[in-house]
Amino acid sequence: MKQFNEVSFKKEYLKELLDSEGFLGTTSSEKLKDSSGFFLGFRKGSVIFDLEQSLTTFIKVLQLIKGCNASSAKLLFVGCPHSIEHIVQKELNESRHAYINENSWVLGSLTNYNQSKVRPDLIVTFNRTCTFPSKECFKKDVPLISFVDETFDITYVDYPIFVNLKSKGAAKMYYQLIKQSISNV
Amino acid sequence: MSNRRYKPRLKRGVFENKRFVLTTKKSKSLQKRKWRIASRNFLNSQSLEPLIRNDLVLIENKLFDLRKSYKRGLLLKQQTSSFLGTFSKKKLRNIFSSKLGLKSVCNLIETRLDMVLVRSNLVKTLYQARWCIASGFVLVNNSSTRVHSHQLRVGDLVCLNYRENDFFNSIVFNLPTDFLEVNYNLLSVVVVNYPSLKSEKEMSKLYSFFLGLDDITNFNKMN
Repeated sequence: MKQFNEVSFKKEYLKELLDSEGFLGTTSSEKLKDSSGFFLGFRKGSVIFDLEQSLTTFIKVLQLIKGCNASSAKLLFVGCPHSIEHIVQKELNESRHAYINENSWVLGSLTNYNQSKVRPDLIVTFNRTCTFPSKECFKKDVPLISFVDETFDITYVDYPIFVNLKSKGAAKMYYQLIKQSISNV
Repeated sequence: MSNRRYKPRLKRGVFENKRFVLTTKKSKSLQKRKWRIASRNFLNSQSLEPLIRNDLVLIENKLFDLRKSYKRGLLLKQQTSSFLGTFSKKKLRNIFSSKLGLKSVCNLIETRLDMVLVRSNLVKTLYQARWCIASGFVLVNNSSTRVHSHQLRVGDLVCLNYRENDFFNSIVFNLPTDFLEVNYNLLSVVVVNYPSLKSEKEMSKLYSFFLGLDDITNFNKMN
């Protein structure tokens, strides 16, 4: 068995993120006072994320999903990067987990369980557009993992991961999560 | 000659003032006290479990409501600590520790001297009971005690030599609990039983609020 080394694992993702500009935010908005701990600073009118902090949360999330896979919990994936949308749909439809496109999410489908019958144990989101309501998860006590930009409101997010959502490194990180949830170990 | 007049007076005043300077005696005593507190905390912290949150267990049992449970635990802790206002910090820590269950905690609380006086309706509040004991109006087995955390046993007799002015004039007069026998002519109490022999429903009736010890122990573990 190959031992899991955190430092080398981080270096792989750091290299990909730095090559594909994963540290850059879109704009410098005025709401940044609440989540100022996740940023390093500003550069030419755009935010720069603290990638080490987001990678530590990413590793924590990977271990959590690994445990969920062993205990046969149901996950729900909302949204996807545009480049790997077809692969993700194929793989998740065969498994016990579910996948929903971000634009086709109906508001209040978690809180109205009797009509929609959606009750996952854990939710993972990839917020390209900021439409997903995180307060529903808080009301139903469902933990939320979300790949997030600085424009998203993170008051009800349990595990926020700050990356540039258009970069190639973010897509690789998201695909690693899906692999971990399906793998039969 | 003229320079003396324009010397910076404020600066000289700060340095020459002896209140701002720690003398050697004071600093020594401070260091000793600091070290004593630090060593005590360090020795206690070794025996405790490591404070790591396990999220998987919370997800499997569907208990992942961290923000709500924080609020609930804090409210319960504040309620109990305000109700037992006269208790010392060490006693409160024993109550909130995980080793003791609800039954043993009830014995700890209800068989204290000041709590027995309150439950027998001889005294209105816990603070009044503490004042009575401290000023020497209370006898336990015909011998005076001034410790309000004195733990009583079955068969102990408590006497009070202090009567309020408007004691029986109040409109509502609640009956005392079953594990005490009270003589209102002589103002004396006998402890008949332990309260833990009752069922849990009757024990929870003694308190006006929900005594959720499990929530408080979880709260202390998490934070």
